[in-house]
Amino acid sequence: MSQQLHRFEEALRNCNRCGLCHGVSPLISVQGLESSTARGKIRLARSLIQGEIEATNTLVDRIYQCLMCGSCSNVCPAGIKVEEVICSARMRLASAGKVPQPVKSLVSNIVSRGNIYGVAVERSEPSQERLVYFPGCVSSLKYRQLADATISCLSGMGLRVSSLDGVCCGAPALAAGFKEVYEQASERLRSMLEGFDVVTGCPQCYYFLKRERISVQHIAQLYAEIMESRVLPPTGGLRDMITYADPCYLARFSSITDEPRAVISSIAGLRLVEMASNRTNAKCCGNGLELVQTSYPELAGEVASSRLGEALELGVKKVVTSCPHCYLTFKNTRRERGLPIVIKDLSQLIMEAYRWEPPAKRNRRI
Amino acid sequence: MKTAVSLQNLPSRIPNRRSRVRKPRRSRRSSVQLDRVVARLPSIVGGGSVLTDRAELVCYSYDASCYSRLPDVVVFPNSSEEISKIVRLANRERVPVTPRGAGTSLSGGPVPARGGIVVVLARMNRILDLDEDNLTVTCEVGLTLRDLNRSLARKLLHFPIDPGSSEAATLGGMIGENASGMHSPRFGKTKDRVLSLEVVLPNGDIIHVGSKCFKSASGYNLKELFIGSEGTLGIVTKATLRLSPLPDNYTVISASFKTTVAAGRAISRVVKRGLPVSALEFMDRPSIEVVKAFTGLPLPQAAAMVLIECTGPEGEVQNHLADAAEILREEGAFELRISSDRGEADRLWHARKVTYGAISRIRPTAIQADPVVPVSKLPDYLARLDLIAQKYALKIVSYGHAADGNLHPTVLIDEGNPEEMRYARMALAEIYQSALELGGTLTGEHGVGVEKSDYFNLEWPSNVVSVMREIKAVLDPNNIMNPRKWI
Repeated sequence: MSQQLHRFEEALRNCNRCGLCHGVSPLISVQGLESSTARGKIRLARSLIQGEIEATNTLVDRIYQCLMCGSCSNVCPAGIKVEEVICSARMRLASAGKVPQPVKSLVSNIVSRGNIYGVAVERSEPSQERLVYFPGCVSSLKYRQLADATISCLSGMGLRVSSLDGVCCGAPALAAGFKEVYEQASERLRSMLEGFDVVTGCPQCYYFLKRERISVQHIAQLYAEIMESRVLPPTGGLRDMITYADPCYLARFSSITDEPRAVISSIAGLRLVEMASNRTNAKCCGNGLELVQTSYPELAGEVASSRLGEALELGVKKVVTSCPHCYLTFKNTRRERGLPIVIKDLSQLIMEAYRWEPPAKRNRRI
Repeated sequence: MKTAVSLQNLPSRIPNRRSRVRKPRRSRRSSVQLDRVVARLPSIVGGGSVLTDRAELVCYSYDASCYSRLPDVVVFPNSSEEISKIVRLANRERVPVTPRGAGTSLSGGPVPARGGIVVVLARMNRILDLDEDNLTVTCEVGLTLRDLNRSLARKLLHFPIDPGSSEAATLGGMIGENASGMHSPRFGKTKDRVLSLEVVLPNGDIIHVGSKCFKSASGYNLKELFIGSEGTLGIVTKATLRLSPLPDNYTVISASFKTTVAAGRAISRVVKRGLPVSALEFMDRPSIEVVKAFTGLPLPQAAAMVLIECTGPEGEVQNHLADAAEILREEGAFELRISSDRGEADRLWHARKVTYGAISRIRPTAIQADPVVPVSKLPDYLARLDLIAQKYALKIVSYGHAADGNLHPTVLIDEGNPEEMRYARMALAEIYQSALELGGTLTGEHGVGVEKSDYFNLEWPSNVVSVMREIKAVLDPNNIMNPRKWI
């Protein structure tokens, strides 16, 4: 029995349904169902494996609607890693071909083009720069302004960097239950990035690159380091009250919560106020490694709306995050629901504060 | 891979003298009746509020105990009037109805033992009236305790009953099981804090019982009849609750012991001294170890730990704790730690609260008992628990609300192992029998549910059971409300 299968079955056995996950589930407050909770999803996985129920569309939806945000694992007294359980359950469903169509398309894009959008990206010769910026799918191909802001900040801070655009870290494939696709993607990345220092603005890329033992920093760590150790030109100041939305894979999975706050605090005139849920207890944005955003956009929007509601309760007009997936889901939700709030990425905030310009389009790729 | 204990696998009821009283009629229904009910429900609550997909039904087949049974349909009403229509329909068609809050019960109370309709009250979660002058709140009972207290905290108030499941439990579930928790020495049990109720009877009538006043001697105390009735007499839909100001000063003292019996003696003496403690908890070694593993708190290496909390003016608190500390030392406490820091005290209580969830780190299946004994009998009872564990070679973890004499001996097994399961049942029977022999009762706060229904007749003679059955028969003649439980 593989270690993963053993852990899966053990987790299914060890949940004694105490219900603590009810209190933190980002889904139950919008869906109101027991199947929204970790306890419910674990029971579904167990019933599926025992043959008590079949992989109906409802079951597939409930298993694929999990945001894999780690909120429930964070409070589980039995120590169950719920996202691992869900991942294993999805592997079973995937092997039976029971996968939501948008998820299938997303994984197929990773296989065919190397990124979740299926966009062909030209790559030039390997860079001579030691530091590689790894924007991930969203910043490369959906919200290019995030990658531009990051490159601008790094350049403003005196760092020479090359960018590896349009390449997926493979995390969405793993989360979707396609382990082999993930392994191929990570193997390719290991060979491409060997000998480089990598910096990424995406918490999921950060977490999974690190898991593959690639030398990687999240951009918030690098900014905090530079701002502490170097003298930068004075900022123009922003005179604003903002709140910071901790991304799940940065805060809960990687324990990086102080660095982004240190960066924000270093900008003159900014006042940071905290949402009711923050740091490792922060609520999820609803993106769900792009799988929920892609397959169940309304659900993602409901969860994001609940998260942005926390910010609006504070009376702030601007939410800063350091994750392109959070940025995407927040942006969509703000637009669709007409919420009176501005969404900013950490790099955009710094670029704005220092009045740095976006980079020229050439020499951005390796 | 094992399954949860299905109701069909339960041991046969423990024999008892045959009762000659009138029993509520056994509800017999056909699939035609059930189909008619399922077809009508969307017209009452709307199509989006009725679940029949098996994948959804599975998620309403269980609670936090190890019993489960699939319902036939799950419904989410939005008002008492909708519940009235649902129950009236079910009564006409003789289809069982089981009310459910968050499903955190430890007795199998909300498990639909005969299938039928599970009525989930989660959408009825509004605070209807907060009366700050009289320190009361009226709310729908699908509201969770956590959400109520978050809202009340803005007014520096709280509803002070704090079961271990307080992060998820609904007020309806707490009322149904007469829940209490760690602070019952000071704040009492749910029934002590409920002033009045709105209840939907099995015939669909909506009645109001109790009074918003702090005392009432007007007629039979019907309010308390429904509290702790586990949904067998009707569905509680609204409640007026008595609140307390948030405590502004509390100190926790923790004491370590070399034996559980010594800890039991210390507890008994602290209670006898009449010290006004707000909480007095007991944990044995395995429960200390698992909680330590989960929380990382620096809990002691000890056979038992006693936690005592005092609230009130600082000088008084210090005096009471000094008295308690003296007793604890005299009974052999080898490590005393005082946590005046609120954060530290809160972490200790959180640690204690998550014990049930954490013990599955030891063995996958936990069957938790809830007996109460007179506090003076605690040392004796703890010694008996040790003997029962030895006799059946089982891991039995004990912790609980010592000031009430309410322990939660938890038998840890793997339910996939039939031999262990058989011994566990025998051990549980002795755990309850021992408590009754010492003048105790089967359950302090979890209710009878499925878990203790086999032992119910050990506690109550047939003439008492017959009174309960008569009451049930009057209110629920067709036995549709949460049937196949203890009554």
